Formats: sequence, structure tokens, C-alpha cells
Amino acid sequence: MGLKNLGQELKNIFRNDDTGAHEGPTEIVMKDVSFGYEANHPVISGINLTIDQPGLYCVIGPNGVGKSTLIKCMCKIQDISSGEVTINGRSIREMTHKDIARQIGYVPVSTADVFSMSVLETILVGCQNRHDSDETKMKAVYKSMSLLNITDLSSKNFGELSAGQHQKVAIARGVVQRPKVLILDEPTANLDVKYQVYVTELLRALAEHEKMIVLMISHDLNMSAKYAHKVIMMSNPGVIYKVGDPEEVITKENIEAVYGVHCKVIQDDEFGVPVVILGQSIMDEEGNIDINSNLFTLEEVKNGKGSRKIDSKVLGRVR
Amino acid sequence: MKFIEYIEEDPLIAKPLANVVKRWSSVDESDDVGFRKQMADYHRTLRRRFLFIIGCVFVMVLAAGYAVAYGPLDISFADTYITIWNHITHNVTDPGMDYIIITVRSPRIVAGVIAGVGLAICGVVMQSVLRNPLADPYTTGVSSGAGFGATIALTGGFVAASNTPVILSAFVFALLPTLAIVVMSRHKSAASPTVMIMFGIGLMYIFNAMTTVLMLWSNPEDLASVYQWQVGSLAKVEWSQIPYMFAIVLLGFIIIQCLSGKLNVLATGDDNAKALGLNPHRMRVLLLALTGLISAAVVSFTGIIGFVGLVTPHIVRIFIGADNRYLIPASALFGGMLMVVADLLGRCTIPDAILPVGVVMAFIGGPTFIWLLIRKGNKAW
Repeated sequence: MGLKNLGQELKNIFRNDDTGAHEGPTEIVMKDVSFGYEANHPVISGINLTIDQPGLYCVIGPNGVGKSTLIKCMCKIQDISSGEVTINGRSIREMTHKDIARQIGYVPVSTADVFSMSVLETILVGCQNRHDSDETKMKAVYKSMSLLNITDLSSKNFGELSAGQHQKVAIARGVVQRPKVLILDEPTANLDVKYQVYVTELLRALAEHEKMIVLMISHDLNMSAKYAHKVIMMSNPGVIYKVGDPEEVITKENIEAVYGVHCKVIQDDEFGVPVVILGQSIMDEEGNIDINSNLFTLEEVKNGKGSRKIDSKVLGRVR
Repeated sequence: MKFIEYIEEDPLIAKPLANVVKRWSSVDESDDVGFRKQMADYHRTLRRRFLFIIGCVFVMVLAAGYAVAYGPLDISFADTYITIWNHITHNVTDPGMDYIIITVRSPRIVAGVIAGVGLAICGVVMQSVLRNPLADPYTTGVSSGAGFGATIALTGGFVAASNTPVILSAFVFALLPTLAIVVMSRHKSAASPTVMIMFGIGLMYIFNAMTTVLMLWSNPEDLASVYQWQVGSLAKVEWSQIPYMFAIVLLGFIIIQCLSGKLNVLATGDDNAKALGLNPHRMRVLLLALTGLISAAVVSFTGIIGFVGLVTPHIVRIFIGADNRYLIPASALFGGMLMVVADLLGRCTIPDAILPVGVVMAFIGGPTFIWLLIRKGNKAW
């Protein structure tokens, strides 16, 4: 740290200014980003991604593929190993956490804190970068709680809530920051069907009404296909497989290649969105994909190998 | 489906939800019944917290008065307060009484309050910063460091003239563990709260082992004084020492109270803290350094007094919750009160014998704490 920097360090700690807020649309660019805990084993590598339009972005992909790492690298919660991330043209390496917090809200997978405060105080923590009166802050907290239908929990202790309620409180805390970009790590985990739909719909509505960039990790292909404006599909080993409109990304070929699961993708008549019907697992222990009794690697499938015919036997069973 | 500018036109978004989002987005100041209820609830909580704090002050003042009044020479409760008031207003009427109360009896009480306040603050902050219910000056190595420092001075024969070498040596060694944690935490892999507290416990064992070696080599008189020092007592503190203690504890308290909102953020986890615009590492190091300083300042004058730092925050959290903005001042006052009461009990329960405050603290605090935990179940934290 050094004595010379101590003054600056202390100033940073107590600093409460609110300058440098960016007006207009936000743009996040990831250029050749890699991250790994050990040098030779990157969790994600060669990530190139530009997000410059408001909308709901769903990140999908199998477990351990680096979805959480990707979004953490985007807002400097995880320092990247190489490459560059810029927000509105500024590299996040030069930005402080506070600079980033003014633009980006991050909602982690929620767990109980060691010492939990009331729900009201927990959400109030999200207001810490705002310079409003207490009354205005409380009002903002109340509004965010009504957005998630949790106003009746306000004086409950956060630690006594269920996992699904934790999740709602965490989302409310993200929303109360009123960020231009909201990043959520599996916001629908632990939620019942009603709230899975409600929360995803809410995030889409926020993106459209507030012209926000909302980026969420999801494991629900159908929900992503229905509500997302853009889908980011990741695959092993920590790379982006496809980015695009749901119809382009959520296809039979892509799902079979990335997840190793037989499926049928049909078009929903009411909204014209893809609907995925999952079938049998077709992946062997080395991750090769069985298509009509021939094994293909992920790379081969990506380059167009393997039959596109639907295995009717498998689909017969799920239907 | 493509981006739609107006959510009413989006077939995927239900009407009620669209209305909720629009209401959230607007800056209307309409007076909502639900909001007023929330504010009323919150104000009730705040009132309860202030009542708790005022209650602590009240009991502390009462107990302090009684503690001063209690002693071989019987002085009435009222006389005590009158004498103190006269002393403060420079209107001393009875010099004998003034001498007994102000010079002989008061330092112990004042030191007790300061020590209780200081150790309780350290407990709260260490627990929140390290996110560990077991964190206190003991488990972070501060007390053991001080113990070793004092033992060096006591067995090294520096004590003949005055108490100062012991205090200085204890203070310096008490700062070492914190310094070590701060230096070590610059390595990325060792910066997590769990690693920090385990490191503190490791240091504690090392210091305790070295203290034991010194004690084995020392002569019986030194051994007795080391032992006395280790159980912690307020008896030796003099007026001349109190300003140092007071200044460090007060300054530390003010800075920590200013940072209490940020401490709330830090207590929710490192990822959350970063997302909310806080550098968790820098904050943790600053707060640990401050608590290290405060606990060193207290422990080097009074000896190792356990329990206050560990248990006060838990007890207070049961009554007023975990919001550090209120938890810190409430714990400080509760700790001060607890210390005065414990010292008083140590002096008056067994006739003709004085139990050190550390021992009393463990006797009354331990069972109370366990009882509270059982009553509250896992809601305590």
C-alpha cells in the first residue's frame, strides 16, 4: 500500500461523491477475455462479446462452463487474467468498484448472511451509493419490495426466510440501485413456477421500459427462448458457442451439441417463440455426442457434422 | 421476440405486471398505505433500539455510582454523586471524600467503562468484518500478543520502578498479530475472512506457547504477577493512564461509527460488497487495523479480559438486530455497562476477597449467553 498512497486510500474509503455518471445507452465490450484460477486451466477463454442494446440477455449453458465467471468478470467482481473489458469505452481495470457500481447492479445467487438484518435493512444496503434523504431511500426500498411482492416481509429477519424469498430480496436489492445494467446470477433458482415466470417477465419488462441491459443466467431453455431478446450460449471449455436471437440459438442442433440431450424444438403458435421438448441424454463419458449411433465431438457438431434427423424413438417417449 | 419500446404492446407481458413496473418507474409521491405502515414499523424498531441504548446508559451510570460508593469506607449513594458533581464543577467541599472517591475509587470504574466499550466495539467489528461469530480480540491473536509482551516485561525484571514497561511491551506485542494479518492479507490467496481468523488462531497458539516457556523459566514472584495479569483486572489502572486509553478508544469509535454503513455492506459478502461499490479488501484491512489498535490499547492496561468482546455483540444482536449502524453504539454501551457490573460483583459477592473482573465476566456471562442461545434457537445469528 505504501504511505504515499495511504492518503488516497483513505480518501477512497470515505469518498461519497457522485460524479462521472454516464448518460445515454450503456455499452459493455469484452475483448478476448480469459480467466483462470491457475494459469494453465482457464475457466473461460477467448470471450468476445459486445452488449450495446438494451434488452434481456439470457446466458445458458451446462454446469461448470463459466457462466457465473463470465458475468463476474464483466463487473470486476472477478479480475480477468487477460483481455479487456470496457464499459462505455473505459477499461474496468482503471475503474474503481464504486465507478462500476454506478452503472452495473449485480445480484448473486442468494444465500443467508452470517449475521442477518431485517429484509428492509438488507435492501436498504443497496441504496448506499445514493445521496437521497432517508425518506426517499425508504420509498425506493418500498417500491422495489412491491415490485417483487415482498412488502409483507419488510420487518422479518433475512435469515429466517426461505431460499426463494432470499432470492426475491436479492433481486429487490439489485433493482433498488436503479442501475443501467443489471446482472443476475440465476435469479430464478429456488423460485416456484409462478415466480419463475413472474421474475423473468419482470426482467423483460424492466429492460424494455427502463431501456436497461438485463443479463441473467438461466437453466430454463424454454423461459429463455420465450422472454430473452438475445441468448448467449456457452459450451465447454469455457467459450461462447453462439450469440443471437432465441430462434437462432435455441435450436435442436445447438442443444444436442452443447448439452448432449436429444430434443425437439417446435414453434409456439401463440407468440412465435421456440419451444424445447427434451429427450434422452446422448452424451458418453468423454463428452462425445451420439447422433444416430455415431459419436461426434462438440467441435465436429459445431462444424455441421452429424445427422439432423430427429430420433423419432426418443421423441416418442417424451411426448 | 424482439425488443418492444412500450411494454403495454408486448404480448408477453401481462397487464398487471406492466402496471407494477410503470408505478415503480414513476417518481410519484402518492402516499401509499403500505409505505406508511412500513415507515411506522421501522420507526417502532428505531424507538426500541434507542430505548435499549438509553437503558444501557442508565444502568451503567447507576452501577458506576454504586461501584464508587461501595468499599471499606461506607459512603452513601447520594454523597458519591454530590462529590463527583462538586469535583466536576471545581467546588470541592470535603477534600477527604474527594480524595477517596476521585483519586482512589474512580479510576477503576472509568477504566472499566472504557475497556468494556473498547472491547465490545472490537468484537462487533471483528465479527462483521470476518463474518464469523467466533471473532474477538482473543481469536485474532491480539490478547495473546499482549499477554506475551506483558510476560516478557514482567519476567525480564523491568517492573521494579513502575508499571509502564509492562504496558508498553504489551501494547507493542498486541499490535503484532494485527500487523501480521494485514501484511499477510496482501497475498491474494490469504485474503479471505476465514483464512484471516485461522491465521489469528495460529498466532494465538504461538504466542501462548512462548508465554508458557517464559513462565516455566521464571521465578515464583514473577509467575504470580504474570498470572494475575493474564486474568485481567481493573485494580491497577491509574488516572494518569486513562487519557491514553480514552483517546484511542474514542477516536477508533468515531471512525468505526462513520464506517458502520459500509460495514453493513462488507458483512453481506465480498462479491456483494464489490457489486455495491466497495473494495472489500481495503475496507477489511482498515477496520482490522483500527480494532487491533483499540483492543491493544485496552488490553495492555487491564490485562486479558475475555468474554466482553465475544459475547456482547451476540447478546445485543438478539435485542436490536445486526444493523451495524445501531449495533456498534449499543454494543459499546452494553459492554461498558457489563464491565462495571462484573467488576462490582467481583468486589462484593465474596467478603474479604476480590475476584478479577475477567473471572466474574466468564461466570455471569457464560451461562447467560448459553441461556440466550437456547431460548433464541438459531435466530441469534
